[in-house]
Amino acid sequence: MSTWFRLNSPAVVFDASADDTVIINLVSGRYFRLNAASSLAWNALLASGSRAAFAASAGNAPELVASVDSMIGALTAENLIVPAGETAAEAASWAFAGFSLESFSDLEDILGLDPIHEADPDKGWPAARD
Amino acid sequence: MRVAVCEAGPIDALGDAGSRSVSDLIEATRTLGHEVLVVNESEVGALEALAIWAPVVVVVSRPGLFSRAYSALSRLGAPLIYFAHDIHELRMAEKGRLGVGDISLTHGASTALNAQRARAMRLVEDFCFTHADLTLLPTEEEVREVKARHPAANVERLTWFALDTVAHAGLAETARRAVFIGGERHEPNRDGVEWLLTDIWPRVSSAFTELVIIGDWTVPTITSLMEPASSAHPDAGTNLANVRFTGRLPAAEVDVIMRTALVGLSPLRYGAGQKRKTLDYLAHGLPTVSTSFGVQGHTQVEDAIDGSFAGVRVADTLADWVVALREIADHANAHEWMRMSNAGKAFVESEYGPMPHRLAVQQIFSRWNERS
Repeated sequence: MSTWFRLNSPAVVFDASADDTVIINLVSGRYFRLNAASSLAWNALLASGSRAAFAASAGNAPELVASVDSMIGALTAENLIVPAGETAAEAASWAFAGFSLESFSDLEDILGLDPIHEADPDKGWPAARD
Repeated sequence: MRVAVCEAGPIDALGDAGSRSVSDLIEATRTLGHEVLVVNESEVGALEALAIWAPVVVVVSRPGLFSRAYSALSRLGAPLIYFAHDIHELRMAEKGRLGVGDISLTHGASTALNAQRARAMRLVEDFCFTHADLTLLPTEEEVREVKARHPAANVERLTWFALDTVAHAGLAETARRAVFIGGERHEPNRDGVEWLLTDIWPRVSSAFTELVIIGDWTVPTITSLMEPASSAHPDAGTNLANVRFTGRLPAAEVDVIMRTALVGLSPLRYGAGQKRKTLDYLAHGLPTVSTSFGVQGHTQVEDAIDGSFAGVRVADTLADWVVALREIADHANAHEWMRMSNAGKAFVESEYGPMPHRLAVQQIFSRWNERS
């Protein structure tokens, strides 16, 4: 069975507005911003059940096809999405206009708390950071 | 009943207000006869120990810990109580409104960044409110705020502190001393102390013997104000000669300073939740000058006792602060000083003493106690 990706729930939550999307990894404390164009890609990725469906939803735009791996790589590196089995789900049509993931770590002091916690950012508590 | 209390690190009963509230909760729970296991997130293997202990209820302090530990803790099968210290997002939004931020950023950039942080924080806190079996917040206004956002969420107020009152030495033995208590780790404290030293104190210092600031303070924005005047900072240190930083002190030494002081100060220009420092002053019989943020959550009960805020002069502008401090420093107002001192202490005894706190904790746990 081929692999696609889904939101890393419940560790990741996000809020989409007309202008952008804010995503937060509750385990690492890092949060991210996607501009309007990147938000379209994010929404389509989550709504698609396979790589083929994701590309097809953007009309198989060559720029998208060429950048799917780097997009997936950026999102998986931050544990925002995780591998899942393929499904038949299809996303609504959209136009690819680039993808960039802005990363912020300025909430870590509040979420990490007063004593800096030593949990592994990938595995979460109670696994210790190496 | 076995109650587990989870914190992100060691609980410092003399540290920040959040740690103190957790410490007070643990003490009240034990006094009520429950077994308490304190779980420190930073200790590897803590969850395994918790699972073996099989708690009836798990209390999780702070949004960061609740949200990242939720998956692991929910597998225990015990109800999860989110012990929220305040609504952080509201504090951040207020900070953004005030334009407080990184000094390297322009006002607009700082405001936008604060708004973005507040939005991310709201995501975290909404997760906590909607996933906890019960959320505890210190003020009624915060409970209303969360219920308005999430009608299905189970949210209640828990009196946040258990404060013992301390007898004041009396006006005749009072030094003309003003006191601020609080450390630099809490952002509103940093802004408040900077405002106090830069704008307020230079205008009233001649009316007082000294200003004592209790807590850990090493941030350059504050310490640079205390440096001798230089060509780069010609006004540095002006009118701040009678300011004394004590560092963090044991409770007994804090008591000595407070019970012989004239006034407590809460110059907080943003924030959310209950302010321990204001209650601390009142518990020591100290009339207090505070912004509206310093008396958040006090309103209704105090209205009934004092006609305003018991023991507190509320001042939100620089001009109001100067007038309030000069009036309190005026010995001709001895009767008013005593009235404020007594009213503030009576308020803390009735609302934030160990007994009302214990009763509130008992009420929270009683729903599960019957089943255990």
